Amino acid sequence: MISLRQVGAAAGSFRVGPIDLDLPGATCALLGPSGAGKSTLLGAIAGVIPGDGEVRLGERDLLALPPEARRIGYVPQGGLLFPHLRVDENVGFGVPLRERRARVAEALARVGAEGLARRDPRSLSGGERMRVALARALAIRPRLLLLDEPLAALDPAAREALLPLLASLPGALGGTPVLLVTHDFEEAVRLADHLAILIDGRLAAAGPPETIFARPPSAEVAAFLRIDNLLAGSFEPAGADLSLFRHGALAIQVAGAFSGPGWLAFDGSALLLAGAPPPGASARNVFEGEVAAIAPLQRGLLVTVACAGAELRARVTPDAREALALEPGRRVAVLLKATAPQVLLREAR
Amino acid sequence: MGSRPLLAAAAAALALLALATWAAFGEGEGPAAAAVTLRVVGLASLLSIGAGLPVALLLARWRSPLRPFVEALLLAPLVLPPTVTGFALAMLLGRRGPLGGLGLVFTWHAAALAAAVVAFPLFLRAARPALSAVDERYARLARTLGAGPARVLLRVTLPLAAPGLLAGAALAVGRALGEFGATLMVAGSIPGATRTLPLAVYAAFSAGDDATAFSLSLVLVALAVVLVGAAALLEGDRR
Repeated sequence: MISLRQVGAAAGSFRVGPIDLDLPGATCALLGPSGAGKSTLLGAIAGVIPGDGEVRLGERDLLALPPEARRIGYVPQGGLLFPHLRVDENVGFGVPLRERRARVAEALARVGAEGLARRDPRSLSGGERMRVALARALAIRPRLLLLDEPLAALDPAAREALLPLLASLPGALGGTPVLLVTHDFEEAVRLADHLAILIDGRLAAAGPPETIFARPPSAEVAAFLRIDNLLAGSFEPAGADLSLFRHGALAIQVAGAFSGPGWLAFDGSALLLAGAPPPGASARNVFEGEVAAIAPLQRGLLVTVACAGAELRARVTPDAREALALEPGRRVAVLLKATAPQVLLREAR
Repeated sequence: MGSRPLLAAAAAALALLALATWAAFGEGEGPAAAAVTLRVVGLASLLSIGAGLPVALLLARWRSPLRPFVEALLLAPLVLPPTVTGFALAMLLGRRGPLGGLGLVFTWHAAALAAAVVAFPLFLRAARPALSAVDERYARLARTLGAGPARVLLRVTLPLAAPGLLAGAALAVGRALGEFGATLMVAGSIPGATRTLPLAVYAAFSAGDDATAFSLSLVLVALAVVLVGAAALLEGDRR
């Protein structure tokens, strides 16, 4: 377990922190809008920019050590491979000479880049560059791995190819914590078990994705996340091009063939409320529930409906509220089209 | 780095090797002057690059509005008449000068010092921008990989600046090779001791031996073309 204690850094007049965050042996995604200070915080932990506070590993404070003694694997944006060194020389840069051959081969194999050893880094594709940069960070046998937007600036195919590799890292490294910076919510929930949301240099929320989505601790977090409903559960195939998503006692039909654990994300506008289940609707999902809360939004209202032990949040107009006489305690039907939710499969760890 | 730096280094090395062969196996005025030249240029290059590299590194890292002024001061010998440089060195090294006790005047060491002083700004002029142009993120990243400051310098910063540093070295060697005025003032023109090729050209011309002056000039022209060509190849490699 690595713990950030009051970690802060400055980039010009902008200041990030102080941040307190625990990193267990798994992936934590540092998520936030651009300019929130994510990369600055990561750079301070790695030691490429000055930072203050403590990064505790047991009794030790890694931040008190010079960067070369921290053994923190750092993969900056774009990989930043040394242009004057071949791929194998890049990967072996941080490895003592007598172990270099074996550990370079091992690191390149781990990222699936064995064939690139003799290449000039300037001849690599974006995805290959990222693999090699990752191998270079892994070769030092890091205590903590920092990844700064590893999938940004990659084409969709390269991104999909790298996702399983990134997801497998904490397990493959025997519990080395991974701190991943991203601005992409989908990437964050697919790769990380914990989210830390950074807004304007402050830690605005931290915890498992489903917890943060179910109860955003502040309006700014809710506004950043934007998606009103994020349910954790698992998918199973249910007929041709249809899957069943189970979240507790709630079973939601979803278009497409999916299986395994994941998330279902959908906006409150994807939900329809009705006074009673309508006959012959095209929506595959019709649930009955009870209005639990009504909160005003900038445009319309957010109606929380308790339904089979879960909470669904629907966006409606004040006009609709009046027509349906929506008040806490009112029984309603909730309709959700099977094609509306976004499916986020959890990458195998 | 591509193959151009290798080509440039090979051409420069070959030219100096040819000069050394001529100095070792030839007989007469030319080979004697070539031998003095090699000694003088060798020491002068060591001195100018040895002093120029740390100065270039310090200046590259020094972010101050004063930097251009300090640089202008250090680069001034580029445009100063060699007689001014020679006069300053003569004052410094002369019998009553602060370094007079070293007894350097009219030795090949004085000639090397004169050549080093005029070669230094040429090296600095190429080396400082080359070092400034190295992306600092590479050096910072190298430290996260376990490299201390010295290793970062040797394995990252200097290799990344190598084309510019080598170009500066080629120009410095070329300038040392062509040094005449300051050398004459502090080291004289003693055959076999301080008479370098440029001084030998002047001596031959003064004595009316145009044939010797011509052939020695030809050697110097060839060396100059090779060294400046090497520098151009190296500088071009960065763009």
